[in-house]
Amino acid sequence: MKQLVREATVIIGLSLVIALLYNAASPTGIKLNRKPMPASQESIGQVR
Amino acid sequence: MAVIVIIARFIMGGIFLVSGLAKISDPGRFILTLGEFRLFPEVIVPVTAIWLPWLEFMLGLCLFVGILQRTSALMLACLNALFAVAIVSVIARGIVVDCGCFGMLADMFGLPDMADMKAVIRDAIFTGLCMIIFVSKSRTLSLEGYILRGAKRT
Repeated sequence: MKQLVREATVIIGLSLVIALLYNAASPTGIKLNRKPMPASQESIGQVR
Repeated sequence: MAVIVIIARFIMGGIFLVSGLAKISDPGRFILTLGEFRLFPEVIVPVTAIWLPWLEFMLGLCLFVGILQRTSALMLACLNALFAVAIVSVIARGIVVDCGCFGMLADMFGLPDMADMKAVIRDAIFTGLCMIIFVSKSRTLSLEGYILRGAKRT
């Protein structure tokens, strides 16, 4: 049981690290730290 | 029994390798699909959409080459059970949505990709196959078995 948990942790951790690194390096990656647009700019954008 | 385990390993490993790669290559589509399921808070959706395909890919690879075989089989069984629960919840809420199981491959090869009862049954079969691999102690045609045999010889 302990071994299963240890191996599962390795797989989860490794996949998370690879996923985040790949996403950061990939041109089609998703921006995770996108800041929300201020309300004033949002409304200006909508008017335009 | 060993033959059944090998076949199950290659089938499940192959399916999750391919479906993981298909989602990795098109993250934008998968993030939309996950959002449509309305299961997670919006903050978690992007990280989940980035991580889940890689987890599938790694678990598929582990099963295919036969390394950390039992753990990856158990994890894939849990993952498939979770997918089934997610699809049942979508059906129960009356949301019509793609299941996103095969990413862009569904369009390319006309694979079934709707979140319906067929997808639930498919996930249940996958869970069963993974549990067969988990229960079995067979290490035939696996990298793990090869390494263990080498260690015993030395």
